[in-house]
Amino acid sequence: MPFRSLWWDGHSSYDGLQVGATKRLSRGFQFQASYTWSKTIDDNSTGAGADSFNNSFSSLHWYDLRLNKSLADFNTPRVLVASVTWDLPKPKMSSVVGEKVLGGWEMGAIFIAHDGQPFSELLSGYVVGQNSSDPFSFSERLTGPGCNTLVNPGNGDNYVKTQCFSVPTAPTQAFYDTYCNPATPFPTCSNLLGNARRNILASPGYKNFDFSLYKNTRITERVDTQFRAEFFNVLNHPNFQGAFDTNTIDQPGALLHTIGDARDIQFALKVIF
Amino acid sequence: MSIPRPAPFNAIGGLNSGLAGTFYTGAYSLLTPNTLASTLIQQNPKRNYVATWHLNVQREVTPNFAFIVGYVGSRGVHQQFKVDDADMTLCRR
Repeated sequence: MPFRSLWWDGHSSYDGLQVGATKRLSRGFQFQASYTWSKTIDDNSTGAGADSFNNSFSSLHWYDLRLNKSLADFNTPRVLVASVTWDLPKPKMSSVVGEKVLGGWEMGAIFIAHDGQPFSELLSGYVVGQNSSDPFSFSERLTGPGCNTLVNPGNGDNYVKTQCFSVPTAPTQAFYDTYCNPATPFPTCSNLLGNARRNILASPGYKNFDFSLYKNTRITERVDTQFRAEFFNVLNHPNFQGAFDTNTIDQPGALLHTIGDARDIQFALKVIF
Repeated sequence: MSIPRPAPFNAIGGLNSGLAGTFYTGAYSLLTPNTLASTLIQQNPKRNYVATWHLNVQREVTPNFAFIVGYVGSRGVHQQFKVDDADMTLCRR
């Protein structure tokens, strides 16, 4: 029988440096940029309802919150957002071509880049579970060559260095005899809590660039038109979710999901009268 | 369904088969230890709150250009801590 509990003893902290610059519209040009460098620490990131984030644990160690203290599930160390709009200068020609063809162009761009949220190296199921029906547990972090960092940036098939993690093992035969589940042979101790703490892995970062081009053309004094070409994720840059989905169990440590959309292009014509 | 129990406990049961009729009846008797979940809710919890503070400098450099530099901090205490299954391994080593 699962035994749920709800306490009010969690802690959280946030510290952030925020920098921003704004150029208000003048001579047809404006831009805005902001940058945040921050850290969020807590001992759980979920409320009383469902897990708030898909990298969250539903059963953390309630008996000693120090075991959970780490980066928050939503911690995003660096965030950069910049946007610009620019009415392209009209050529100094008073002909129809100058007015209607070369004049009235306008462009806009939005750039977003931020670090990935942290996630944990899960061991799933009763085998390495917490002797609970909740299929989450921490694995054991191994030291050794190549294990100073735990992810391979840019390698979607083997993003997490799974060779740097193992099922927890008993330090001695006596320890095994006393505490470990005999279903797995010594030294594997499938019911021991591993030392690969919560949220020690970082998801890949996120980048997105949106671009738009408008053409304003006045037809008559009363009728104005605007043709808009808008390109979302114009570079068609893929962004990957960290390897914290249960689907990654078949392919441990792989990045199997993208975040956000592929390139999206839309055209629109607006007639103002 | 939620079944009252003496505080601080509360029991929740879930069934997805064996129910008769479109308006399900007789569910209570179908609940077994395997379909019941007990919930322990802390009694008289402390008030949870978040304190936030910030300090920033905003400067208009030219009539059309301004920047802001700031620090933002916050601390939350007595925040909700939920466990779906409290029956977990204690770490011993």
